[in-house]
Amino acid sequence: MAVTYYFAPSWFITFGIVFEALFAIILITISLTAYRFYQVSKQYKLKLFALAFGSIALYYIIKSLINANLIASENISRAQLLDLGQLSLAAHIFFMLAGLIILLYISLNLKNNRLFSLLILIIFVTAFVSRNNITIFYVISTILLAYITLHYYEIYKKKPQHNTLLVCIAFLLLLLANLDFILTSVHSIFYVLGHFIEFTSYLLFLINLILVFKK
Amino acid sequence: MKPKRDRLEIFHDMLKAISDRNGKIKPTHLMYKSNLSHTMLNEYLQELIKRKFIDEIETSEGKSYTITKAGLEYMEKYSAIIKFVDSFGLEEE
Repeated sequence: MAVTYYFAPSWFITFGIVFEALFAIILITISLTAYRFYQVSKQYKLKLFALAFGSIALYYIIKSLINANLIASENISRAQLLDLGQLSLAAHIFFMLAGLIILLYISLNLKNNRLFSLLILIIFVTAFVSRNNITIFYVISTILLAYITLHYYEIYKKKPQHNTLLVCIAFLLLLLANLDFILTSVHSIFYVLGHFIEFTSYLLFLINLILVFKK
Repeated sequence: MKPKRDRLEIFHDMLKAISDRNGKIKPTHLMYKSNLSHTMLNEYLQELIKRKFIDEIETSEGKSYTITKAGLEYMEKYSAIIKFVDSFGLEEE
């Protein structure tokens, strides 16, 4: 029986796992680099950035592990499959939103902790309470990414260099991927397309990291 | 006109000034070498001490500042750190 999971076409689930594992590796590499640089420079925003990318990496790790488990478990019941799906969804929502909120906190230079906590509460309550939470999650992610991308566009305008342009395009692609994921309930091909857009985005992040270490 | 230096660049300039004088410098020399006002110098010195990049030592001739191992490591990795911070917009005010 073909398994429809996350609106993903069944033929793509294995490829999806490979993509997600790859995204997680790139994100962990960037997160560890940011943390190492934080240890050397004591620049607080580097620690937050490491936490944000680490949180998004965790989402991909959990999602790919659960997907891999689904493929490996031939005798899994429909009810168990749905439970695993819910667990993955919760991890998806929590870690991705947490990562994006931290990135937004860095971008907006928020000093007011009450305002920040209010923002977190509104986002998480809306995402978890909503019945159709996967679509709401992608809508919220898209809004957060729109603000983050705008911030990186402003950085590029202020410092028009190769690396600032790469990061700005990478976030713009993540934004487009999330917009695309909103449409996955319409047709599963958007799920595949979203992964390819995400792949291009993370590739740009990786190129930027390589350029950082280039003499 | 040269653009305004950010904090990380000023830290680097101050540490380089200390390093160029064999790892030990007096505040007046540091102020001149790092091109900072007296107020700004004190502010940045406190920040460097907090980050454990320098140590303050009291001698019979007054205060001096020495660069620490962490300060030397910061100088070594400065180029990569500044590129990373710049590209991801992680400057601090």
